[in-house]
Amino acid sequence: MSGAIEWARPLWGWSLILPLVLLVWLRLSHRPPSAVTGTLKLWKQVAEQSSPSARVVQRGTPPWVWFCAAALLFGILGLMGPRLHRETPPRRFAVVVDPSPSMDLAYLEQAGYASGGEPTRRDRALERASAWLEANASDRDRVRWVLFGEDPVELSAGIVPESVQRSRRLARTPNWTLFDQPGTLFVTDRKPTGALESAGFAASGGEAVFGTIAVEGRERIDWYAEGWRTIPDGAPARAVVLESSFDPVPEVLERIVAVWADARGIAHPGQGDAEVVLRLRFESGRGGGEFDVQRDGWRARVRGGALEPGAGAEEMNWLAVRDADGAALFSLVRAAPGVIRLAIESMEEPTGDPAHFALSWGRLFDRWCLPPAGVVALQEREAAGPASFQEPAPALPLEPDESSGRPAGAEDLDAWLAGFAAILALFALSLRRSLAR
Amino acid sequence: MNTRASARLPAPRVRFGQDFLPRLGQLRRVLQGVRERREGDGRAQLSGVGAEFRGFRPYRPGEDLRMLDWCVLARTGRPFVRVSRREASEDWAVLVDTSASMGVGGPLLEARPAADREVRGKLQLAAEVATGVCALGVGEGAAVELVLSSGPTERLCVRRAHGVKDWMRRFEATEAAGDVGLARAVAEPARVRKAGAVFLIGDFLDIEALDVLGFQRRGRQLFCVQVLAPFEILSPQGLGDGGIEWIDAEGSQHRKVGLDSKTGEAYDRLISARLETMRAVCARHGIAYGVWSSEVAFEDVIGELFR
Repeated sequence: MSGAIEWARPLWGWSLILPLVLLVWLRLSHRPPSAVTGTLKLWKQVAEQSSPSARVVQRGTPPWVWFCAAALLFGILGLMGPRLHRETPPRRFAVVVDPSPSMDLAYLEQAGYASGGEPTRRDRALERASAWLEANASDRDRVRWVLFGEDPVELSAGIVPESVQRSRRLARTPNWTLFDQPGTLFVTDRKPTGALESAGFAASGGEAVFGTIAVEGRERIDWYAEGWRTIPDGAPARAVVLESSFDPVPEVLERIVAVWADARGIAHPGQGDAEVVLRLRFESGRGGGEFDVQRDGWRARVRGGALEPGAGAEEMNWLAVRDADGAALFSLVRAAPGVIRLAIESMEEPTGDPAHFALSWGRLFDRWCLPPAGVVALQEREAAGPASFQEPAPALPLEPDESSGRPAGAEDLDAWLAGFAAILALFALSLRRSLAR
Repeated sequence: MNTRASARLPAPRVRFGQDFLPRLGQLRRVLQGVRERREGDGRAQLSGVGAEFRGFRPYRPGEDLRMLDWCVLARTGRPFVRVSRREASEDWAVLVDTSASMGVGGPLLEARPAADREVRGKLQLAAEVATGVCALGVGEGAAVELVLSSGPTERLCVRRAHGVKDWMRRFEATEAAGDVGLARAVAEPARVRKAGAVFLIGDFLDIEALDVLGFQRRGRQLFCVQVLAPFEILSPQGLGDGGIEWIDAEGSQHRKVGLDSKTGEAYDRLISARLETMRAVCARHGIAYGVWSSEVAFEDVIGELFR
């Protein structure tokens, strides 16, 4: 695509016949006259005996005519409005991958149970998206991969980050409208609801995948073709783990964890091959001290320090030390799917209604406790409909400071051609005058 | 030398104008008077082996006194001129070149002539001269045979005045074409063995001067009428220095030649030498010869021949 010429007024191209007509006409008009004779033999003798000038019979088209035709040619080319397009600047595409658990489900063309060997809905959607990128993105383009739970990563076209396959069991289908930008492609299993103005999507589709949809205490609820069933004591073994860089962990917290785990049928501490669905990681905070903290109607005095933000974009601050104005100074508790980090070395008995304290922490644990493997919500397991694809609006070029190449755009050649035509015309006129003298 | 498709001849056909026959009749009358005036002096071009006596007419002042019949003058005391008719020219043959080169003529360049001006090619003048000869011959009591170098092959022999129209139709059915010219007639002189007068009419470009001697016989008068286009007699002038492309009428060859003054002079020298050779040979052997431009009137040619 580099150096391509586009014509703003291509209809003027028909005028290109004019210089051709001029040359042909002059050629014909300068052609020597012809006559039929019976004395050709004599003329042959004359031509062979006479001076070389006699043999030069056809003078070429005068030079000024060539310049005149060239001026006409360049003038017409200028009227056609040529635009020289420099190299197309690199563009930025974006691929937003649906993190919802349904993407981990097997892609089935008929509703049923996964046998384990099928590609996932994510695989199918990525396959379609990659094909489109391969056809539309060049090596110079950049592709920004938005993978929930981690920072966006920008790669060259054709490279797919490995972490795209990582399961994000607590994630939900994002609000696509937040990513509705040109050159953005959603990788999902269901066709996005709502009208997209700029973004496109590659939806894998797929039929319903039966299986466990929930675990309640020690019960397991399975969904199958005829409906669902509850299996008492069918819940998989799960565990919550307390990890601490110091001993002992605050008793108040250890106690509330135990109560919550018992209520959820989760072992505490982890036992045998039980799947760890939640880790409470006690860390030594920076700049330790005693602080009063409060949340959800409870208040307590704690000893701890500032908790450094952990890796992963999903980690959220849950409990912070605040100043008199309520502004957060630093975090004491941060939570991410399956992991809750606490920079609390000790905690006094909270004041206020004890139920508020238990409910507050219980919500925290519930929010970040991972579902057991294989447990996928019913709405995720339902059929995703037919596969569909929508091409996004053309990707936008990178900002000049982002692309190392030359600035993009088109260069008008009209002025150059017009000037050149004028010079040629003047030269033709002067040449004609000098020849006429 | 280049070749191309055969040239398109400017005037390949013959077309007798409506005034041709009246002009021809007037010419006959004029020539008859001239002939009658000259019969007696022995200078007639058509001098055969004998003359048929036709009578006397009054002497006109200014006529050559040698034409007077002195016996009649002595008997009657009044001057009379003896009028006779040649007897040796009963069979005439007119051989006309109808090759493609005879279709040349008219304006030199390809520009179309004015609508009211007919293109006169060499064949046109040749046909008019030949027809005039025919009419005169028939008037003299001769049987005149037409032999064309190409075209209709059947012989046409005219003995009476009304046959002149057949003669004219034969010409109008003929088209200048091919490369068979007088050279063919020269190769077969026996075709006109009995003719007392033979008229060779053509451009003589395909034969040499000595070739015409093959037609000479004792008691035969031989006429060579060479017809050339004006630009064949004299090199064209005023065409600028752009040159001209000459196209061979009888072939597919063409040649571009510059036309400066030297070139024109060179051509004029060549054609003059050729014509002079022809004239010298004919004069040496008593052959009536003349060269005319295709633009001249046939009366001028015949008048010159039969003066």
